[in-house]
Amino acid sequence: MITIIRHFRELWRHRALIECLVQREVAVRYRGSALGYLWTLANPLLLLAVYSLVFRFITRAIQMPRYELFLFTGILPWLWLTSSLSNGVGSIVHGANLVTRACVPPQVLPAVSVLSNLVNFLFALPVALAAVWVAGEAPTPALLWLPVLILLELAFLYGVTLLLATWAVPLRDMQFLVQNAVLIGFFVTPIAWPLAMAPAGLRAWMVVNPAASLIVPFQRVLLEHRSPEPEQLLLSTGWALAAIGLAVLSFESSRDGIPERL
Amino acid sequence: MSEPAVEVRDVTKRFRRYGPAARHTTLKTALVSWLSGRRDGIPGVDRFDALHGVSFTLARGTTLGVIGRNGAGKSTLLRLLAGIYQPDAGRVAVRGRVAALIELGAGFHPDFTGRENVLINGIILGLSRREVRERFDRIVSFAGVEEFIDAPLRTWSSGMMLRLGFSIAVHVEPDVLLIDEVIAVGDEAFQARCREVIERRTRSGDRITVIASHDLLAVEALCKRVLVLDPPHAELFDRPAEGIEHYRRLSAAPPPASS
Repeated sequence: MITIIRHFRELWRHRALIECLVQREVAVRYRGSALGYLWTLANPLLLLAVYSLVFRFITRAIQMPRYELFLFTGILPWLWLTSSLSNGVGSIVHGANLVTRACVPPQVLPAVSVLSNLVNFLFALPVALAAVWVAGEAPTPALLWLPVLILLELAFLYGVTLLLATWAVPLRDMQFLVQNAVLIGFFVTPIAWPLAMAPAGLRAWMVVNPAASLIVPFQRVLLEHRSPEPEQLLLSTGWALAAIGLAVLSFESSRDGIPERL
Repeated sequence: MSEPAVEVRDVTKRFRRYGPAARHTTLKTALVSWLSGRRDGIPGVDRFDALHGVSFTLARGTTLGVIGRNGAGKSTLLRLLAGIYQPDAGRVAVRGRVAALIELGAGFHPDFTGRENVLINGIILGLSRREVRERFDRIVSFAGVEEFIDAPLRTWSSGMMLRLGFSIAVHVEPDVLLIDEVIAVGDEAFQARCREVIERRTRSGDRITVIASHDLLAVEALCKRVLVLDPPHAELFDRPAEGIEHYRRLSAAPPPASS
């Protein structure tokens, strides 16, 4: 417990550095591109168009009202998750220069990955809100849950990304593992299909799929205008705490060896 | 004055040496070595002491030169002082703000302008945003890069980048400044300015500067003391000329056969 508090206190001490690196990350991503920030929006919209085409019009597997909105509200937190993990897993390995030559503490780098993708998520979120509104539903107080859901996902993602980035130092396989997990993850998480469509037995899946426990509350709050179910919140809180606990302990026990293994 | 600001006591730093049979750790090799019960058991990898039982202390106001052959452990020693590496045995204590120039411009990003890179680099070296702003003009004029400051770094010459990196580090005004191999940066005029800055740090009486270099003339001119690395040992000389003499004798001798 003391280790975890000390870890976050150290992270907090480097907040100016984190802020600066996040700005750099966000700025450099679209620097030199003509559309700039519009790309943060183009990506989820393109995915949305393709999935809608496949699931609704070609296979006709899913018939539900407002399917595109449903997709949109699930894809945004999912993209935040996948881009954080895929950028973050190699953040320490690829940031070797910063760690061994510029004295940047390694845990800063996964935090930067997660936060810079949070920035993208926050850019796209108002568009989703507006889309729901335009579809004829005014915002409701349920939206006040959004900061809580964002915080939970942030905590979970920092934990997982730190863990992956730490393990990726001795085990370069981690990034391939993540690539594949992300690919599979999309289909086993209720993003393109609503959880209600799954057989009742399968709903227990959420217990072992943390992504589901994070994303379903987003859909519920944004689309159904209802507060998240308490047991879902409990579950995602549990996952976030477990991820952070495991990641921080794993990182702190191996951190002294990290710079020389880079 | 009495309390040493840098204290290195009995420090040992051990590294892995990769032999011809060594491979990169993958899930497979890690699993195999774990299953076969070898704790340190990546095949083809053994351990050697880069530094062994190294001790010295530096009082405030010392400018130390670190000399030794390539691979003698100069950068390792600087990284230990910077806190990037932890010693395998012994203790390293450094009091005050440390800035390390292990490699100039390590935190630079080629797509950003000089102005943006000054901010990022300054913050990496431990300044606040406000401190960077206050020192910005001095940093730029010391480096002599006024005309290019708003151009992306990839359009700069490497010399200009190195000058900017050096300028940022000295303007952090750290209590302990660690410089690796960068005295010979830039043209003659810039080198003269670098020397002036280092001499000013020495005269200030409370700053410590550690310079690792092969430029023996510069070391002799700038440093009060010299540490000669003869791996895995090190010897501190209070008179630079003696240290340099010792180093020359070591260099003349054939390199020790690696066991």
